Amino acid sequence: MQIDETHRTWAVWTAALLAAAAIAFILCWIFYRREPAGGTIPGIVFGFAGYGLMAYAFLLYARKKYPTQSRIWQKRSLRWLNKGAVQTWMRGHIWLGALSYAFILFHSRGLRFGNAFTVTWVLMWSFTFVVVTGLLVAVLQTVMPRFMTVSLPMESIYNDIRVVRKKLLREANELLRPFSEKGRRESVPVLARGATAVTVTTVVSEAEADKLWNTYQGKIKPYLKLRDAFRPELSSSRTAEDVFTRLREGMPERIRPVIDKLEEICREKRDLDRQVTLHWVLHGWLLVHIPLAALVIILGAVHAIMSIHYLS
Amino acid sequence: MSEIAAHASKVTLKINNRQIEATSGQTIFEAALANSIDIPILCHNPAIDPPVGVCRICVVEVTDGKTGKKDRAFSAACVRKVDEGLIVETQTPDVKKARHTLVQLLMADHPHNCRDKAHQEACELERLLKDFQIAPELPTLPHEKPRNQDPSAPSILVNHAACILCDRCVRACAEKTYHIIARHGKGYDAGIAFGLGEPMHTSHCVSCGACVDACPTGAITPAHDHYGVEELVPRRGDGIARPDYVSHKKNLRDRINNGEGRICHIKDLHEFDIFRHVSVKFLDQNPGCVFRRPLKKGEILFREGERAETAFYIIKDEHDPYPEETRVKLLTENPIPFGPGELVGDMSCMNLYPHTATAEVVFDCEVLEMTRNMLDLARNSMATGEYEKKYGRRALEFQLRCNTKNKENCSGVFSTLSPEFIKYLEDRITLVRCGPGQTIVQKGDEAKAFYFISFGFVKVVHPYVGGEFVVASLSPGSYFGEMELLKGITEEKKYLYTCKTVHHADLLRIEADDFELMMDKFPKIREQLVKEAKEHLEKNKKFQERAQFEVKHDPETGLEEAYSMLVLDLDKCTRCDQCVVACAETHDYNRLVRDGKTVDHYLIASACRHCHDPLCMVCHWNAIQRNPESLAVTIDPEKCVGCGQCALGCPYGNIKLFDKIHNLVSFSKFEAGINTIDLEAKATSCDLCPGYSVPNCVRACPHEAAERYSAAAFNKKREDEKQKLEQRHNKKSFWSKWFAN
Repeated sequence: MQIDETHRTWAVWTAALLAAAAIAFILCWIFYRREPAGGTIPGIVFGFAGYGLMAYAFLLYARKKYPTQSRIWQKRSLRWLNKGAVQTWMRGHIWLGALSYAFILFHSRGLRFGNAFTVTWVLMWSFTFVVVTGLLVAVLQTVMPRFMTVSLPMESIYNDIRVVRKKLLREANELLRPFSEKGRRESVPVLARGATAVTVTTVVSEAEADKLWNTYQGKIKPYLKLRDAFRPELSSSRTAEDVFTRLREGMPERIRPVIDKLEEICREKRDLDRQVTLHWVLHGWLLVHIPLAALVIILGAVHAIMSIHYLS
Repeated sequence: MSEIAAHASKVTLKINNRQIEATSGQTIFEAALANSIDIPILCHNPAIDPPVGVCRICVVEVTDGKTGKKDRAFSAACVRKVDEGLIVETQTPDVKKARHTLVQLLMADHPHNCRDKAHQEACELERLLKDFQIAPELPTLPHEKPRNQDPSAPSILVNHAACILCDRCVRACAEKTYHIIARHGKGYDAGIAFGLGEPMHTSHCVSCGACVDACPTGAITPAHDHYGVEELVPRRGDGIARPDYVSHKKNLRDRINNGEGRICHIKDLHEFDIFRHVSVKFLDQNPGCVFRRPLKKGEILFREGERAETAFYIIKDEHDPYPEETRVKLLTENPIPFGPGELVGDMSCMNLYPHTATAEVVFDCEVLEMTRNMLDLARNSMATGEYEKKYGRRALEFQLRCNTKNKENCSGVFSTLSPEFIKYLEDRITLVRCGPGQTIVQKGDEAKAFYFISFGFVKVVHPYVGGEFVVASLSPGSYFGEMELLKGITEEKKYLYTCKTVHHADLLRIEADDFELMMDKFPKIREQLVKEAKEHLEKNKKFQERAQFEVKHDPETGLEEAYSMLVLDLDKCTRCDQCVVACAETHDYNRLVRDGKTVDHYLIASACRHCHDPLCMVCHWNAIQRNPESLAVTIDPEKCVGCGQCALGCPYGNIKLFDKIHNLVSFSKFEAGINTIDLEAKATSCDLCPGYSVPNCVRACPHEAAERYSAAAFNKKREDEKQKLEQRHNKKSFWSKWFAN
């Protein structure tokens, strides 16, 4: 979600709540003459408030997973969860999620995460990581969509990319078939947009046909086949241009459309690869954010139960 | 002939030093023709009005006789009007040179030997080349992208490469009132187009052949020169004119080898009533388009849902011992009988709709299976004949007795009419045949008649400034005009809506007096109609309130038709596909694809736009209608039989078909003519999620990127955004002001 001026109300309320919590914390500090620990009443209140907000923030996952009147929402106990627009839930997720971290900090008297590898330590570090990834995702969601719109003019549907890549490879194979040994033997006509249908042998010499075919087999085809291409030569537009300039050298004019088309296919493949990368940058963080958030919820519950048990 | 004033005066002028007299208003060409002076023409044909003067082959040198001043440039004789004292020269060296250059230029972009040797003689451009004694070895323009051919129509071949853009075909088509052919493209891409630039066969062209007659070159020619007569025989139910000629030929050979029938030759055609009045010239242009088939009892002529591309005429034999016997039955709830001399499946064929019922042969007979172009020729030639009367009577009986499958529209209101009154009406009704897009009644006009829709579709239109909003589509069996004629329903006897045809339609018109007589005689019918009319008025009120638009044509986006389109702000959209998930979850099937046209940083997703004039709203089963509450175009799955007609109609591909096992039916499959009714498919499209305050695609978007907009609202949003940007751009920041000071 893009964080813009429409978030002002949420930001103001969050700041107000944070200020109120901070004042309460300071007052308690004055009253107890030391920082209120997690086991004191104010500490417990902060802990529960923080955990409540964390749990609310986590519920966005369920709200997004089943966005409409799915069967899950038919249950009376869960029907309340389907109330309100997802956009409102998302705003709450961002701002109240951030506020929960402040509450938990008040609960734990600042950045005191306890002894290493204890439940509290794991919990606090996980929670910190959840908040940091969350903030990072928020920033990325503000910046990346516009960047993607500008840099990917031929954007495809993400789930279709695999199919489009296969189609590109098929197209390239078909385009270069006349240059293969079998194609030359059978005099398969060269078909390219703008080019007249001619057989390879009538247009290029054996050596030129070999050059094109070998470059295709050695560089282009493996690149088109690769799912995540990191081959420097064709995955960068500058080096790819060099490859095709070299390929064009000495080639007759009538065969140029074939090379142009091949270059276009590589360009499209490069765009698709870039789209995949950007998609992962944008959404990959959720693979860390969501499981860690689930861990935090579980560990938070364990921590609360254990603490109350030992407190009593 | 050009338009000549009724009391035109005579003028005197000189052509090639010959004093001649002409009528004012005549063109120089007409005056010259009347005096046997030859002026070569190409784009002009005296039989086709109006002359346009685009080719300039008929250029002449004109001098004003009074002042002695020559015109600044040569004039086209076909459009230049005569004037008193004009001096016209048609054969000066300069004029000849200009004509030669024009012919050379036209030939440079024209295939030599226009189409084939046989046609070379007929090509007027090549004839001019010969007449002007210009060497045939001419330089040709480089063709980077050759213009293509359109072999889709069964009887006409279009070769765009040979087109010289003379507009003769456009004018000939307009003269026949079809208006199918028009100019399209610019520069080198300029050419003629059928309909919206689609292949000729899929356009609404009826292949009447007027364009073939008009074309001066080999751009539009009869297809039989090329494909041979035998290859033109239609295939039943599987289309007749697709580019897959290999399978077409195979199918044809199979049919002939199987003894299904034989080609009916032109000379034989004139023996049948149906073709008796058709011009031999037109029949000549469409050889092999009629197939004579013997039929056996129990044979199925066509099945419900099959795309109708041929119609059937039951042959009437003078020696038939049972002339009144039913030959073919349409298997509706109350089977409709067809006897000798009647057409079966004609309106479905005319409109390329799927058949609405299965036709079974109940008595051995012979039929003429004909293509759409032949059907049109036959229908037009019989327009005032006996067939018309018979057809009208049968249609009326069918309507009044409510022998329709569409129970909802034809609720049996008129089933209580007495046979005597039906007989009385039979002599009083008028059969109204309408072409595509014809206005039948205009909102605000005095209500003079009541109409039954016999065939085709009628859209009920609510006009607004700058456009029209279609509130309903009336299918065959429906009626309109009763609300305005019933006493006590409306204050004035004026039509509340404009009604227009969608494609070809046949209507039965009952005059206001007869309608009133019917109401007086049959009070039960009146009661029922009043009840229905009140419901309609209620709906009308809702539409009047909601369908108020201010839409400006925006050539940049071309979205002015959209009433509610799903717009995704790509600057906010994280491509999470929550909208797609929500749609699939709400409807079981996903009805939106996050892809489509991009305008600025907005994506117009592929989901129904609920157009003002929805081209998809042509359903014989009345499954697709506009919801008066949300104004959404919705498909009722209960009524949908899965014929795919609506999906074919949607220009944006926003209607999808799912078969009974929930698999998406490939568009190419049903476009190719498979009977999707057999697959028990259902058409689905966005219904704006009834029951929810906001459509779920919008509701589910966590990033506030998805929104539903009407075209006007979307344009306003874009304008506001632009203004804001400009303001921001013009507004100087604190620092720039500080530095400036």
